[in-house]
Parts: sequence; C-alpha cells; structure tokens
Amino acid sequence: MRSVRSGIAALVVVLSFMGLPYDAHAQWREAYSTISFAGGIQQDAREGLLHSWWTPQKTREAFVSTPFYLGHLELGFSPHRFEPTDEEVPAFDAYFGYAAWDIGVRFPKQVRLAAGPRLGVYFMDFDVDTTAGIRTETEMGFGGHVRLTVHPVSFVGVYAGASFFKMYTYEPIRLYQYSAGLVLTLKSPRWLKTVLR
Amino acid sequence: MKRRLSVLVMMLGALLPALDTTAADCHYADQTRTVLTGDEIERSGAIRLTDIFRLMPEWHTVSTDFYLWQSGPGIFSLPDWDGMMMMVDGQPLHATLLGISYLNAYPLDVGLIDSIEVYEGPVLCHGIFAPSGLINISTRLEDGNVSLGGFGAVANETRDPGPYRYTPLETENIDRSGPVYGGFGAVSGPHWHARAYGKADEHHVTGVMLRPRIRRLYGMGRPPRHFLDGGHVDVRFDRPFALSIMADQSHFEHFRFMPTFGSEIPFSTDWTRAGASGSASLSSNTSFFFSGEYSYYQLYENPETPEVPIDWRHERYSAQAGLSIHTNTLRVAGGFGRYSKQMRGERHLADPDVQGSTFFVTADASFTNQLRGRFAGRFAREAEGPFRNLIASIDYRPFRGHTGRVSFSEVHMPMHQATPFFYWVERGFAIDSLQGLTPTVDLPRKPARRTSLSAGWHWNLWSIATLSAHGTVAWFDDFPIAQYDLGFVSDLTDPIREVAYFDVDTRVYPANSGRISRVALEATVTPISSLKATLYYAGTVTHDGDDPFRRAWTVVPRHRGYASITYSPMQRASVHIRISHESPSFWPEYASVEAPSGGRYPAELPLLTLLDVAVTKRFWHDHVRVSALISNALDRRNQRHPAGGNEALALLARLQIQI
Repeated sequence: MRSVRSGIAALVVVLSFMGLPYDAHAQWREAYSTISFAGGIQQDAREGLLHSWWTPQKTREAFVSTPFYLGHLELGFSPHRFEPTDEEVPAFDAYFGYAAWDIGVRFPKQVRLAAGPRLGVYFMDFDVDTTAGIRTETEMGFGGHVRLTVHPVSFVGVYAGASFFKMYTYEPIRLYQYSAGLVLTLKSPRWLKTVLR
Repeated sequence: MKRRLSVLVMMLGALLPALDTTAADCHYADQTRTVLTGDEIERSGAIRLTDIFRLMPEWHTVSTDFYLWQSGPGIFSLPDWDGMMMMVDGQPLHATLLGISYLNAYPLDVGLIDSIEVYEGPVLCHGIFAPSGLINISTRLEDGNVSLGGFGAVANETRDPGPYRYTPLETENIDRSGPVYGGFGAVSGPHWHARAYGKADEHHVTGVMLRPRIRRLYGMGRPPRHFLDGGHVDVRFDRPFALSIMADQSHFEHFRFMPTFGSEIPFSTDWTRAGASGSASLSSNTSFFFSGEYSYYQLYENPETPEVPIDWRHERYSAQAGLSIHTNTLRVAGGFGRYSKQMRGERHLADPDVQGSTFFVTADASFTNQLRGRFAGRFAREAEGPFRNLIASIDYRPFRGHTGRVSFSEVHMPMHQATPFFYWVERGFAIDSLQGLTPTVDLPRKPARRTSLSAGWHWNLWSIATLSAHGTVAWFDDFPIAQYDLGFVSDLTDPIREVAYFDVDTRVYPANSGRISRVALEATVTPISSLKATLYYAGTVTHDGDDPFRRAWTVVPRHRGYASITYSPMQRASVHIRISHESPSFWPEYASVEAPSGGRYPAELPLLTLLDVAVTKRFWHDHVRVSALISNALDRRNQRHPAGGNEALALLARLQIQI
C-alpha cells in the first residue's frame, strides 16, 4: 500500500513541476478555451481496511474539465457501491463529488500527461439506519490523480489514469483506483467563457 | 486587522434606544476600531456570520460544535458586564434569546456584508449607546433595478465513523454543521431600495459527549439537528426624506435549554422584529431624526415533547426622536426616547419588566485649530432610579504632528442589565452557559458603575508612523484597575488600516496585588498588489498576585500568534492561508472533569497550531461566487476551552449566484 501511495504521490509532484513551465505560459492565454466531457470505468487497485467488511463494485466516473490559468480545472463525480462480505454490516452506496486541478506535460500527437490534487465530499447512503436515526453521512475527501490523455482526432480522445483518495472518517477510508474512458473536447462557446471568466 | 477590540457576540446589552441616522461618525472614549471588508470576509471562506470572528487575531474564538461560536475580546480590553451590541445598517439587533445574541439567527448572509466595524468599550454610534462595545454590520446595496440571488453552503467536520459504525471500529458520531441556504431579491430606483431575504440553516449535534457539557441552547436528539429559518425585509428611501424600515422573522426548532447540569428543556421559538429609522432636513444645518423598534419572541414546547410545557413571551419596544444641528465648528444632536421590556406567559424564567425614558445628546466641537472636544451622554430614568452613560474626550494639537487626548467614560448599568458574572479575564470566556467552568468571579446582582479615565500622547513621525504613549485608570465600583501602555504605530495608508504596530501594555490589579504585561505587534505588508500578508504576535506575562489572580490568568496562553496571506494570482480568484498558534494553557476549573470525560476535557491544554486554507473564485462578472475553506488543515486536535475537543479538520464550501 505504501509503495502505491508513494508512487502516485511522487508522480503527482514530478509531473506538476515538469508541467509548470509549459502550462504556465501556454494555458494562461487559453483559459477556458475548451471544455472536455469525459466518462469511463473505474476499478479498485488494491485492498485496504474497508475491504475487511466490504467489496467495492466496478463503477463509473465522469468529469468535466477546462484549461485554467495554470493546468486544468476539473469537476467530477463517481458513484460507488459497496457490497458486504460480512452479514453483520449493511451494503451502502457512496458518491464522490470533487473539484480537481492538474498540471501536465504535453507531448506531440496531442498527448498530455497530467497530475494534480482533488478535493471533494463523499456522500454515503447506508441500506439501514445509523444509530442516530439517519441513514446518510457525508465526509470530506482529499486525493490526487495521474492521467494520460491522447487525442487521435481533435475532439475525441481516450484517457487512462490512476487515483488515490482518502476520506477523513475517524478510521480513514483509503481507495486506490485506476480508470479509463473517453474524452470529448469541444471549443468553449462564447457564453460559457463569459460565465467562467 | 486590529487590536484592543472586544466582542462578545453571544450576550448582548438590552434596552439601549436612540438611532440618529444623521450622525456621521461614532463617539467613543479612546478605542481604535476594526474594519473588516466584505472582500476580506469572502476570501476567508466564511459561510456563516459567526465565522467572521476568526478573522480577528486578537480575539479568542472557541466553538463547541463548529457552529456556535463564542467570541471573546483580547485580554487587554477592559472588563465589562455585557456583551457587545450588534447593529445592522445602523439599526440595533436585539434578537437575543435567553440573553444570547444569536448571530446566526439573524437572516443575513455573509455574502451581503459590505463591511463590519467593531468598537471596544462604550461607544455612541449612530445615536445608539453601547456600553460594552459595538459591532456594526453594513450590508451591500446592489446597483441596478432588479437583482435576484441565491446561495447555498455546506460544512462538514471530519472524523465521523462512516461505514465503520457497523463494525467493531465504531466511534462516536461527530457534530456536523449542516447546510445553510437562502435567497434574496432586491429592487431599486433612483432614491429608494427594497430587499427581501430568506435563509434556512440546519445544524446537526450528534456528539453525545457534548450534551452534558454544554448548559446552553442546543438542538439534538431526534432528529439530531436544529433548524432555523428566517425572513428579512428592508426598504429604504433617501428622498424626500431618509427612511429605513426593516422587519425580520425567525423560527427555531429542536432547541434545548439546559438550565442545570443534566436537565434539558426542549423548545421551539419564534422571533419577530421590526424597526424603522429616518431623518429629514428642516433647514441647511438642522435635521430631524427618529427611530423605533419592536421585537417579540416566544418560547413554546416542542410538539414531540408536550409533557414539558413552556410558555415564555418577551416583548420590547423603543422609540426616540431628536434634532441635529451642525455648523462649521460644531455638531450637536439630542433627543428623547421611551423603552419597555415586558415578560409574559404563565411559565417563564424570572426576569424583571422594565420601563424607562431616556435623554441623549452628542456634541462635537472644534474650539480652535488645536482643540477639539467630543461628548456623548445618555441619561435614563427607570423604576430602579436614574442612570447615566457618558463619553467625553478632548484632543489637543499644540503643533504639527503632535496630538494629546484625554478621555473619560462612565457606564452606569441598571440592575437588570448587570449580569451576575464579572468578566475580569476575558468576557468571552465568561458566558453563563459555562458557569463553573470559567474563571469568573460572582458579584452581587446590583446596579453597577464603571468609570475610566485615560490620557495619551501621539506623535506623528514624518507622516508615516505614530509613536504613542497611553495610560488608563478604571474603577469598577470598588474594584480598581490601572493600565498604561507604550506603542508605535506605522500608518502608511489610511487612519483605519494600520500597517504595523508595536505595543507594550501593563495592567495593574491593586486588589489582587498583581500585574499583567503584554507585548503585541502586528504588521501588514502588501509587497505587490495581488499579495497581502499579516503577522500578529502577543505575549503575556503575569507578575506577582494572589492565588486566585494567578489561577485565573493561567487560562491565557503566554504566546499567541497569527499569520495570514491572501494571494490573488488572477482576476477574481484568491487563495487565503492563515496560521494561528497558541502556547499551552492551564484551566484549573477543568481539573475535576478531566477524568470523568476520559481526558477529552483536560485541564492542561497543549500548544496548538491551526492552519486554514481558503480558495475563492468569482465567475460571470461576479454573478457567481464560489469559495471553499479547509479548516484546521493539519487536523490538530483542538481542545481550546471552553470549546471541548471536537473541532477537527473540516471543509466548508459556499456558492452564491446573483443576477
């Protein structure tokens, strides 16, 4: 676990520093110039404490991103489903909504390798009431991602990435995931740029 | 930021009438003032009104649940009986509930704040006399014919059990500050403005450890929350005469009042308040002004607990009017008023009815180019007898760059205003909900008088700095306190925003044979237009004194520090980072509860470093405003008393849309 986490963290830091000079100059001028819609599948990479009682199901993710002054700004959403491995505990659904920012390196052929932090909330909906008479709970989550994006054609691309996030419950929930999907990139309409600016 | 300011938000002085909308400034004996701008508040990531007090480095702000904040003044503000008065746009806010000024209950959102002024000590501002200081909130009036808006905010404190609650790793649920959301609409014309505003606020209190520790209003149980909603209407004209009308309605559900340890009285409450103020010019140098306020609140039993009947109604009104006359060298205003407070209901707590009349006068005169005098007085008559409050100061400028000031204040408090607790260390720590846990000294409930006399000399050096020496002697009936200080203030911008100061204070307590010394410094630098940094430090040392004296001051950390950086690298975006630090302190009153609480409420508190990071961004020509605050980012266990130990890492996020 430690090696996976350390590897992702190191990659995030290295890529951030590598990408800083490029994105600082190139994207300052093109902030909000495009908007990308992405969707894909997500799979757990390794087990943690949570897996002692639950098994995460294969899930989906979706995000929207746009060039920011430095790097890319991203809003994402990912629903999770956890089935119990122990009949003493209930199943639950979880929804991770987050804002992320990444900075990256661009290579020829429309290839971008980027990394950055993400911050969000983890909403959990249990199949039974909690002891306080409610069945939901929300907790803050913080993590990071590394993502390789390739655009074979100008507006359609594919991506593959790895992510880590930690939910700040008393016993933290740590999830390591990898994902892959499609990206649709469009030129931002003027009204959208007006709103974002 | 500022110094020597005091605020006690949770308690509020009662019946203080008069609203002089023609008054251009405030009369105060010898205090500086703090001004927080709306931009500063927004960049800090605040989502509730009470969050703003964490922006004052010298204030002590503690929370039991990340929602109810108890804010106290710096330790060198003069002791007082009451909390500060709250005003919104020049109208006093009397939305007190059992003596608490419940700021979050006021249907006003942080997004509407234009600025906040805070005065320590007695002040007469806009005709309102506040014996223990004043917080004046000015709201932002939007331009344009029609504007509509809405906002929503969430706050989440970490360390909840999550799914592990169903496993052997189950832990206690943590209190949560629930969502707050609302909307507003405004219509304006050339000389008028109307605004309607509504807010709903939900708070979860699920920590079972907190319940027996807090003898105060609380919402918990089933459902584990309290709910607040309120509405506000604000109409103003400035021609042909100035008129401002405000009306508020608030409603609480699922509150609990804990009058004694271990007992709980669940209740709900409604507040209604309406106020009006205005002025009209009678001639080029004479104007007439008036104001009035009516408020009513009612406590009643919760529907789910009819077996605990409550019937408590509180009604008050005040009305006053006067004249203001000004010439080139003199401005005088004065008037009369009436006020009344009455308790109704079959089952209510003992609280005397009060009726009285008042006369107030303010004067600001420039006798010569070198001599200026200011005076403010309020004289009231009630059944208990006459009371008077006076503020007077004389400024003398014998030659360029030198100013001497002598000021005097007398605060005479009727019995019904004088609370039975004497805040001689920090007013904010003496909130009666925490009696027995705070360093307070009980005094007889009687009419009380505080008199202070201060003198100072200020030397302006080359228009960029001020060297000052200052001394104060105060009497609290038979409890004298003397204080003197030397200070250096560098002021490069304007008289409100200090750039840097260095200050040495000593306070002498003759009755306890003790002294307190403090060194404080603050500096604000703006090396580039997009970057602003503030540094504050205060060190406090106790000299001599008897045992009660020394024991009382052990609760004050010897070192306190605060640093903040606000960086705006691009248009309409900012990052705000602030670090606050306190050295260890010892709370003797907690020694007896440390073991029963399993160490959660220890007497000895370790040093604490808190890191807050806020990011804000505006979109669409400022129509959309987004902020996110990571509070206590280092996830330190914050046990500052009388807080309890549950302010963990938290995320606060806010969205406002206005068209």
